[in-house]
Amino acid sequence: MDLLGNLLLGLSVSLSPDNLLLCFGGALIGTLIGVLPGLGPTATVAMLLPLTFYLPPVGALIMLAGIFYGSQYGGSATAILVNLPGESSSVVTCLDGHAMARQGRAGVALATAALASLFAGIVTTILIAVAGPPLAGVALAFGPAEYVSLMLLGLIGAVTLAHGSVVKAIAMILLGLLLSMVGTDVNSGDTRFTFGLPQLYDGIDFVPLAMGLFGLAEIISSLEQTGGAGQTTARIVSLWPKREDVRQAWPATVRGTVMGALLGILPGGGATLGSFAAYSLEKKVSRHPERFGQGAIEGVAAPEAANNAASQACFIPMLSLGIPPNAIMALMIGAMTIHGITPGPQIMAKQPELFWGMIASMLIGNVILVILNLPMIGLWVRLLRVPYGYLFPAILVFCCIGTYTLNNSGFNVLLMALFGVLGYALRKLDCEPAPLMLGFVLGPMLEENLGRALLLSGGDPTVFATRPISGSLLATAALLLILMVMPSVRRRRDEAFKDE
Amino acid sequence: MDLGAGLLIAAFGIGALWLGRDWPTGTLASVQSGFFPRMIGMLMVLAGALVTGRGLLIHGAAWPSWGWRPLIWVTAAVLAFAGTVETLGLVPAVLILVGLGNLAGQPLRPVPLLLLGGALAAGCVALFVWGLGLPLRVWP
Repeated sequence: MDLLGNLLLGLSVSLSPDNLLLCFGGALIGTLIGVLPGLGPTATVAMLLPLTFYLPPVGALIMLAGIFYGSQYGGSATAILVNLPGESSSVVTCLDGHAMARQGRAGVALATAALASLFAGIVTTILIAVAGPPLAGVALAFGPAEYVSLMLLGLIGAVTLAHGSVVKAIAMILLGLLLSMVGTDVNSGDTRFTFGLPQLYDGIDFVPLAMGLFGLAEIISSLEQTGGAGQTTARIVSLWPKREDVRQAWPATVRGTVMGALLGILPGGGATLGSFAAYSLEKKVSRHPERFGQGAIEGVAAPEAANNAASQACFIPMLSLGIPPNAIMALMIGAMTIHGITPGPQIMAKQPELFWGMIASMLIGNVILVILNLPMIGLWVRLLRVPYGYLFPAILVFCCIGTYTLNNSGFNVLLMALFGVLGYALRKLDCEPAPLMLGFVLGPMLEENLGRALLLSGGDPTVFATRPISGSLLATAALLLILMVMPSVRRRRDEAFKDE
Repeated sequence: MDLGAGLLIAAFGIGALWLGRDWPTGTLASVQSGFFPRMIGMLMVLAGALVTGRGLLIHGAAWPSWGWRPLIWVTAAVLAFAGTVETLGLVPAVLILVGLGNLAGQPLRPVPLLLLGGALAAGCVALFVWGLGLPLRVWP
């Protein structure tokens, strides 16, 4: 198993005309939807999931990955041009990016964002290729107890990412677990929480849940805020950074990449955490911290590099352990399951062309993004001016047909409407839907492994603490939880998220 | 806000416990189908109580303003699509969806609305029926 050979195998898969086209299409559509204010990567991936149902598995994953990083990039464009973060990870980009735009340097900010993301993307892709296989080796030694502890660690990690109340985030995880139990219990054949409805015997489908919670709820919130008007955008004069800009942005990009990649691998970490951490690091190492918020180019380069690095590093735990570190990876796992692929340590050995093809496609996708974005940025700007009143019915139509065609059932569309109402209500009550999604995806795995671990230990619940790996994972989770609840940490975390 | 969230969470937990009251929990060594729901249900009641308690202590009872108009019309549009797509077919269902959805924001004037609906319906037929070959009923 050599790195170069693997990457070559991957490139041969991802450079096939079909897959190249899907990668391009994914990045393009992802950017297109991601640019629309209010639609972040999670909602975008959820909405476009149905597009990939009819593709071969490798192509579907390549396209979804493209949609994912495309929408991430689209979010930065909105942040810079109209000061509206499409998702939480673009919040910091707004600070200096939009300040640059007001100074007439929107083009430079966009180019910096694109190039910093490209650098981070390439470095992180190589990191995934290097770190994935050994991690998968570790995962093969995992028993059910270790899996339970690891999932708990991941779920607790997700809580640290959610802003606002810790208890509410935990409650959202629990609600997700509860929803995951709907349907027929695999072991006993008992039907649980089905209310006697035969449509629920197979459980709740992942697509209506994700689309309702993220897609419909986002549409309703956006309509509430804007009523359906278009946006006025900053003008773009010159695209190319000056020599001075490059000198300042370059080291920031490298630091941001390292920061993002490290935080992305952590369970529960992700783009948001990465970009916030990178921004505060830049502010700390800068000799002129007062420039930040006034259009400092480092304040665009570092968080953009970090959020791209982090969002790709998230693939490491997802692909090698089968455990999603955040809601988007939960969506990816859902997509893989639809295609009959079980993510986890075996995936590299059993389906090397799938694993390496997807990774190599990220290299290509990052290059495509730059090609796609720098010359075509004028087009995105025009798209931003289209009134939302025309856009949202189109998005609604797409959500409805996508959910319906999942298995030609009007019931799924009905479920989506219900989850849309639930998603909107949760938002109003300051509860985030992301931990819910994670709980929903991990639920069946958690229940199965919990039961198995207890069975193997003869009903001894201390097994989770006494096995060394499992014990240290649990200890880490407990430590995280204690840190979260401690007042001084709480205050700093709230500070970091205060702009949202 | 916290009060509402806490009560909602606790209600879900109680609901889960009540629905799952007859399922066997088994023993720790052999967990049955009722074990996990009961555990989660109890944890949810606990979490709900915590959030409610804090809501009462700190904030008092405050209720956020809701965007009823988009909430009602978006939901109605989606439900109408769910009800009509199988009986009336794709084109009427999309037109109804766009028509009802339009009421959720600032309504478009009739001509642009008709153009938008027509374009979306035609696009969907082209993409999903002709392009992807999905077995969808197009007309009533």
